[in-house]
Amino acid sequence: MSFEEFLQQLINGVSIGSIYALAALGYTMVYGIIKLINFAHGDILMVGAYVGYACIVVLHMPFLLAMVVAVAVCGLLGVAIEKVAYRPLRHAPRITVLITAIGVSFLLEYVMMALVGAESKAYPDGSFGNGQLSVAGLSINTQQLYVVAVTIIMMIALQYIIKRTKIGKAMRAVSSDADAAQLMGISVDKTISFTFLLGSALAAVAGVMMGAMYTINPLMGMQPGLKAFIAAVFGGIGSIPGAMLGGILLGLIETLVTAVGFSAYKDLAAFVILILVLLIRPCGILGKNVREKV
Amino acid sequence: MAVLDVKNLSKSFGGLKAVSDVNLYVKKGELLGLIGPNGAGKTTIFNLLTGVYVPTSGTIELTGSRGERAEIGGMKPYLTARHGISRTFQNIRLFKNMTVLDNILVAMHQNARYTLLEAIFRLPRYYSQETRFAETAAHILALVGLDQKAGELASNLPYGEQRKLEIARAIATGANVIFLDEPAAGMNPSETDELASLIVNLKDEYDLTIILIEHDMKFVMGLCERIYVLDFGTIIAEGSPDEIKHNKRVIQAYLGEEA
Repeated sequence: MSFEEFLQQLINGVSIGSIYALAALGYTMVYGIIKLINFAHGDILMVGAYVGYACIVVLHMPFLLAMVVAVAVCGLLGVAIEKVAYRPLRHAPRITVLITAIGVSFLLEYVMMALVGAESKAYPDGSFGNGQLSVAGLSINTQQLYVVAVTIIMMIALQYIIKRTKIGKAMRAVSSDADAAQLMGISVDKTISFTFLLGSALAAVAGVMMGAMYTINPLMGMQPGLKAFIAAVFGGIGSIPGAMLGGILLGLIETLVTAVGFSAYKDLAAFVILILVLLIRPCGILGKNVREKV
Repeated sequence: MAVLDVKNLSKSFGGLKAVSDVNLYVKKGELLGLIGPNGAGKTTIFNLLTGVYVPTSGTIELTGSRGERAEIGGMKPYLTARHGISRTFQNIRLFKNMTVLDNILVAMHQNARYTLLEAIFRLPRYYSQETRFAETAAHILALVGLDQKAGELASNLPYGEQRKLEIARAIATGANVIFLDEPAAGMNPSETDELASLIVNLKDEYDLTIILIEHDMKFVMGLCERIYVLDFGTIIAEGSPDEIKHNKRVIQAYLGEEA
């Protein structure tokens, strides 16, 4: 592999990794606050892709506006799912909520299939910019550039919300000790709703971009959902910088495995990573090894 | 004037009556002690008064700073907090992964009146409130002697300072009624003395009403103006420290029948 090719693959890896990272953030935030692996998260990404598609194809909206609509719809969907499916189980054993999440995942997939059919659809050509940029002998797809830019903006905004605003501080307080947070005047229910809102909004951003780059179908959320989950565990579940790092690294590894000629095994590489991380460093790259409270 | 008026308060867990038919009141600006042997129901009463538990029966009436009355029995904890009630915990429950300053700010933020959009776009209301919060937080931290450690993670503070931070956090909510659950637990005598004068200072500075649970009798007798004694979920005595010291039922409860 020449150096140019390597750089090219690096760019590919960062752009697909950005999508994983966006989706991984939703997993990690929800896990951080209610210790739930929200298996329906990938399907929210799928819903986002379809809402974006509908906005562009049916309502002829510009791409960015379609993304904003998808973010709003998915944000509300996330809040609604939490309220209907997870909140009544707040004090149930964790496994009950986990199974419910898998149920919600199937529900979203097959309701969507009933609504729009199972066949794949594609966003109209050029809706997400499809130029080529030549920089120093490298040809960069402008889509990839946009993906990385959007992801960076989202991550800065997210860091800002979590570190600097009162709702962000409330999120950190609830994830640290929900009972104590409540006694400091924080509404735990509202804080959890907001977490789902943020996570689902990020998934929608990822979904619309994925939809524009590849094709969409009602089961498209499963694969990136699993990958994002791996990315979140890889980086350290519950850690926000960890999810960002995990996503990018996973994207890079996958692309490089493909580049050296093992494209059939790129998913294998992802799962091998998951197993290795769980064996060697169960808390992930940036995760903290926290003892369970007894 | 009574800030808290508790009438016929009971709490059962299944067949166990943890608190039964408790009547008590707390005067505004009072430093009240709640003592009793282990398992007497002291923390259960705190949990009832702060909304952690829903009473099985009875009423808890809170009189706010402007004289408004509210029934807070069974109210959600975050709402009792917004009615001006706050507390510390027997086993310290700080937000461990947050800095000392953020622990204070998160408590204060429940009084913030700006929206997320105002925060993101840094509109004037956000700035003026954040500046005021930062000043107030610095003031509270200075009072408890933690101003030099504002940037440290709460989990890195030594034990005694964690206790102080928890008290500071309770005050930062803007509460005027503060419950302290064994504030001196695990402290040595000189730390305990320091804590006693700190509590008095804070009470004067913020015009607080303080109710505390404590096993250190010297601490309670020296600090509290009035004391309730609890045994097996009922109040067996009430009075000034001197009266309590010489009360026969109290001595029996602590030392057994033969004493």
